[in-house]
Amino acid sequence: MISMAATVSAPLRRIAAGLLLCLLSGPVLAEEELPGFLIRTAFTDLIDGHHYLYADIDYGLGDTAMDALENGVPLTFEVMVKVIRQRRWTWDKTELEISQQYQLLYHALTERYLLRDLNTGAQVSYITFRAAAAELGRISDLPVIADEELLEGYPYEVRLRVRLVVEAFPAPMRWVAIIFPRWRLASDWYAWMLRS
Amino acid sequence: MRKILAILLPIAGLTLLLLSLYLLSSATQNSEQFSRLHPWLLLLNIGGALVLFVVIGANLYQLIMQYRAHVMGSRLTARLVGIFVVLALVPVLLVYGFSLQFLNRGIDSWFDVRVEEALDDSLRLSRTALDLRLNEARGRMERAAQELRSVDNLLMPLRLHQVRIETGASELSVFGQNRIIASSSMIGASVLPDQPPEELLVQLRQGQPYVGLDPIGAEGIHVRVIIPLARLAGEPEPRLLQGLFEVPERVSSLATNVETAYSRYRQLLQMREPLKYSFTLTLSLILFLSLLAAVWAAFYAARKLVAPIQDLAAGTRAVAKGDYKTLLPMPARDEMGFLVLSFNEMTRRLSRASEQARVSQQEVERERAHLEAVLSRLSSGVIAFDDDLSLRTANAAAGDILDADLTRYVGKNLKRAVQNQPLLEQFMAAVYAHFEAGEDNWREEISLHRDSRRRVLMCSSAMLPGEGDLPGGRVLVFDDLTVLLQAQREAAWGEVARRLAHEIKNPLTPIQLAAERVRHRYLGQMDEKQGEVLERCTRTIVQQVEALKEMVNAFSDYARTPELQLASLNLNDLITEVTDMYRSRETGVKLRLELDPDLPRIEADSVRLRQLLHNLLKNGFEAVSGSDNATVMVSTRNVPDGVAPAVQLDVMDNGAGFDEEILGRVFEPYVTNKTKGTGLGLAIVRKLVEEHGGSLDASNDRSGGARVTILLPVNTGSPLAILPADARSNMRGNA
Repeated sequence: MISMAATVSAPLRRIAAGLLLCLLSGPVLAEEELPGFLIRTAFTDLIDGHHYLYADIDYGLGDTAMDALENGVPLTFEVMVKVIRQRRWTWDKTELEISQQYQLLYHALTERYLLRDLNTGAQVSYITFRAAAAELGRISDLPVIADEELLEGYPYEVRLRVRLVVEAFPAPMRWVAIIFPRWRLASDWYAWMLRS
Repeated sequence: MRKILAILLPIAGLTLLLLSLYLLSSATQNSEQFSRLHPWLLLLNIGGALVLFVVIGANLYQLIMQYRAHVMGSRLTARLVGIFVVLALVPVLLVYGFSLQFLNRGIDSWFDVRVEEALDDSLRLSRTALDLRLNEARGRMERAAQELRSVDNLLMPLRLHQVRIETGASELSVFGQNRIIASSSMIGASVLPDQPPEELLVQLRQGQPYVGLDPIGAEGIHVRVIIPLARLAGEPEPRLLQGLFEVPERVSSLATNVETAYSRYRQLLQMREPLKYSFTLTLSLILFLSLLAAVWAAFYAARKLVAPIQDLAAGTRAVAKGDYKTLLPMPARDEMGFLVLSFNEMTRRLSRASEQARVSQQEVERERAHLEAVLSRLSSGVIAFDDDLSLRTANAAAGDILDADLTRYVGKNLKRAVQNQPLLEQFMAAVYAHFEAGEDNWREEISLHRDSRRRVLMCSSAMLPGEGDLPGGRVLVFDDLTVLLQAQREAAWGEVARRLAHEIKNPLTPIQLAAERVRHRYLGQMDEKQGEVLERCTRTIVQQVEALKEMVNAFSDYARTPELQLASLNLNDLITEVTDMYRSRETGVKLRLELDPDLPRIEADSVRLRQLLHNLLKNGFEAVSGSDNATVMVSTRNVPDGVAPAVQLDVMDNGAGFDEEILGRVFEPYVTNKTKGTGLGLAIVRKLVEEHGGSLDASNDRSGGARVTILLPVNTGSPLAILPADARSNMRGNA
């Protein structure tokens, strides 16, 4: 009878905990020191009539995401770039949006981290997560927009943001990742003016 | 249409909710088809739950308000909702509890320590198997390094190819500092050799070799061996020898399978709690939504069930209040429908009966109005009494005759209720005497007295038919005979006067002439004594004949009815002219005039009015004759706001006034308190006034003395046949 009560109370506790977490996780966890992504620097350079993106990004995964990664859950990262034409009298117009997705996976047999560019399919392995994260955070020579595509007389702003794509998680984890803020890993928008 | 919508909308809502729940369930089970929609489905269901929550809240609030307000049907609705909710809640919660247990146990049963250990062992076994390959590759690479250590960079590509074939490596490369010195590969020269990982460079620069497994894209697992080459004298940069060895396909495939199974199991372990949360949340959401839907359905069903009862209650209340046109909507063809049908049939019949009653009542009302109109136009007074002798109704003429507002006494016993109404009190005393004596039908002339005036009423009473065996009331009809009797009396007096004038006046002159002739003929033939007797007798005869002539002339004046010679005249001028004659006399009586300067001209016969003034002044002078400070006053006043525009003439004296006994009859012939006179003066005055369409009244002044008030219409076309109430009150006020 005691064991029965114990088995019944466990799911109930889980429901209560889940509901409580749903309600309280936002404000409570927001005050904790959370892992996060940080764009240290980013800029564009005009080379041969084309603007190329250079960026240095710090991916701080935190224990939860690291634990998931080391237990075989692939993590997908998205680098979002926007080129926005600023207009005086009307709303600004997004002229270009670029999305680069990368997948990081831990290969248990070889004990290596595999970093795959989902846009090209290219894959590189790393012995340590730090090496993989450093490679992931280093953006170099990423073509953004041709200078000739820019209209004269308008200022253009470039915005950069990176995030962990929780929608790419396996289904059971997806809603947990959507609800709990510790999974909501993303950087702020990093913006600068495009120079011709 | 509204009814259909009221049914279709909830069904559509519930169907949408069920579909959404199904999709959510599918998404939770990792169905690729719906997994993308998972957050949206979750939101949709939470939204649906919120909508249901709000709807239920509104329903509950409404029910509580109705319950507190004791709205008909609210208690039954609350009871039904309670029963439905309990019936839905208990089994659903039981199923939910057991489902949660099964769910958690089911998920836990996927994971087993033994399976986990077996997978760990498999992975270790795979690594052990691959370690052999690693050691073998390392040995080969160390030998190759020995061979290539002394080879110059320029010759390195030629030598490297041969060494690669000897070692069996799939790719063999020599790297300098940031450059490729030489490379040989099975794949082809066009592909760049795989760069050694940067994180190994420090280790390698220290002279320590690296051996490891490396999954290289689609090419499977490779063994990567990197050995620093010993630096030769004069060598400008350190060199690294890297070899990649393919793992046999069979081994690679088996190792990959083990790795995949291990990873999937680890992934499942990682997702264990999220899975439980996910399923629990989905199940809870489904339960919550089901419960909310059940509660809402309970409200819906309870209201549906109670609505016809509420309609019936409202209908019954409406019928109780007299609204027989209430028809209830048919709920369904069931027992409740039969009840509503019967109710509707009942109200239809009641409505018909009510309509008939209304028509009958209207008929009665019409008859009653007709009767009232007839009664109100009657000059006779009509009073109806109930069987308990209380006043039921009376017409206007009754009130006028009795000089009282009878409507005040409806429903009261007049004998007991009436106070300070002398006429009414006397009348009711006489009438109730008959009633209380048990007389059903009677007729009597009743005389009433007020202010020394007499009013004669002819009364007739009869029993009214009662309803069934119950006794009916009584009706009393009476006429005011006062005026009629007076007119009869005046007619009789007129006839008497005319006859007297005719019969008596004719022999008077021969009597007078005969008496004078007798005196003239025989006075000289008689002695002094006889002559004195004759003289005295004949003088008496002549004087008495003169007196008789005066009397006959007065009767003649009273009786004659010549045509009026109406002309516009100023009454004030006429009064002034007539009173001047009296002023010239040395009577010792003071004559005062108070004439209204704004008096309008009137249409009147100046000769008649002159006679009228003479009669009144003569009466006044005679009344005050011999008294101290004897005064006769004549006043006029404009009365523009009566029944018709009129002028008021008052003649007053400060004499003894009228005797109270004759005050009500002073205008009748031969009614006088003077020792001398014919008693026709005031009778003639009244006759003259009435000929001009006026009215008159006699009263005693409060300070003593008599007052005669006369109202004469400005135009004789608007006679003041009945003295207006305000004029009467004015006259009384003056008195």
